[in-house]
Amino acid sequence: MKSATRKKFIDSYDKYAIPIYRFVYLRVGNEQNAEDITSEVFLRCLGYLEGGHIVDNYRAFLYQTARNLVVDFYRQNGRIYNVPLEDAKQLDLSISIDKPIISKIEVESALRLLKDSYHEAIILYYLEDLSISEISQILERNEGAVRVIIHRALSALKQAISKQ
Amino acid sequence: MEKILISQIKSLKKIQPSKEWLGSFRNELISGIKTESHVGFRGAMEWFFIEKKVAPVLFGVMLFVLGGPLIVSKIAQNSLHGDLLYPVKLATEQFKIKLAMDKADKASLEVEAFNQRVQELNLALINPNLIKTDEVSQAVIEAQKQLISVKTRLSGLDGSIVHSQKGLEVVKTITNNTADAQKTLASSLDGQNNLDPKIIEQINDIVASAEKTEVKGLEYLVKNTDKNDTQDITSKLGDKIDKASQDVKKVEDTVTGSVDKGSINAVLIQTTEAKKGLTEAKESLENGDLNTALDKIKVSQEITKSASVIVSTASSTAQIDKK
Repeated sequence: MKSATRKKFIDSYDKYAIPIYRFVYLRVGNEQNAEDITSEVFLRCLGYLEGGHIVDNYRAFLYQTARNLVVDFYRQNGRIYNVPLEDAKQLDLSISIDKPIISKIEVESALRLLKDSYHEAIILYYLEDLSISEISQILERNEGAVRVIIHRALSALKQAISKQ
Repeated sequence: MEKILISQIKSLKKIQPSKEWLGSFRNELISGIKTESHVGFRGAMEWFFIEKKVAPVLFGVMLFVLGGPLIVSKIAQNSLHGDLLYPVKLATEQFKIKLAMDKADKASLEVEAFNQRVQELNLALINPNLIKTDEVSQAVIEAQKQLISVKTRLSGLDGSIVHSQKGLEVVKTITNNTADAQKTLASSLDGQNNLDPKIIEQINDIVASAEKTEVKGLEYLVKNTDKNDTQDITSKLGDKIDKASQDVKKVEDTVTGSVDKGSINAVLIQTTEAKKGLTEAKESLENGDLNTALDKIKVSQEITKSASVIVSTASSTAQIDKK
């Protein structure tokens, strides 16, 4: 592998390993599976580069690979989510009648009730601050459709939380 | 509500992988790239002079020259965390891995090193006088790091290598050793009443991670083993079904009267589902359908883990309520 490509790849790991891990973790809900899938994302990227291919946009490539691997994971394991114990402990402690405080765990579990495209749109737009154009590349939808998805996803999240 | 919601979404940024995993996997990636670009002696020399472990290796080399190769290698082989020659032992292992010719050899050496880390950790746990208490956490980290290397090598073994007899043998060794590691570490944790809970948690993580690596190895074996030579893998899958059944029973045993009825029902629904999956796995195994058997085992394991989380959450909620 050329040294410039090698450097770009390592830089992309340093820059995106944590966001990709987070993206995967919020989909699979388990640290070990998130680590395994994140490793696989970077190994696949490495394999792609070693095959002589070029990656123009590492971020979009890594998120797309992560999405595909999460789908494979669901296919193999079904949809089972684990809620970390330390988060679960916070659940009832943050609820107040006067002030609608929403706990992190409520958001996390409500996110998992959304359909995949809504879940991904919320994470990419609000959590990872990606632009509409980048999200459209990752979700393989046009920018207008992405705007609509984000709007609907936030409404769906609000509903999911109020039902909890 | 919308502002609060968005700020809570942003607070999920706190979710991060462990620094150990992030660093170890980065090193593995770098080492993987170097292997491809600077194969053999040049690559090994580059690693020898550039990587961080030069000081202990040079110390080892000095001893090697002054004391003779056999003495140094023998002393370093038996060294433990905190010993002067322990870094030499680690560096020698890494040097051997660097010199290994192909991915299968490298994976084989990585799993050998993992075995060593597990034995060292086991020794430290069953004989606390052997190494200092603060070195135990270092031993845990080294074992964690080495398991990540094994996992990475296993992922890196591509189809063509696995199809070869050598590749299959390496994957078999990985599945056997990771299965042994689970038993060794689980039994060495028995009766450890004075051990730091954080260390216990980390060791349990290693056990869980070793199990995942074992299952990954089994996937390779199921996919690539010759259909006329499935006796060994069938027996391994049979063992996994037994182990998974024991895990289901353990979860059921932990559901006590102190947990609320709703949680008990949720757990029992899940354990019933897991047991059903394991019965189906057994049937598939008897019919020679290894692929389905393994899939059913994996799903049952995930359901059991999920049930176990419900038990822990419900127990801790019950404790908070009591207070």
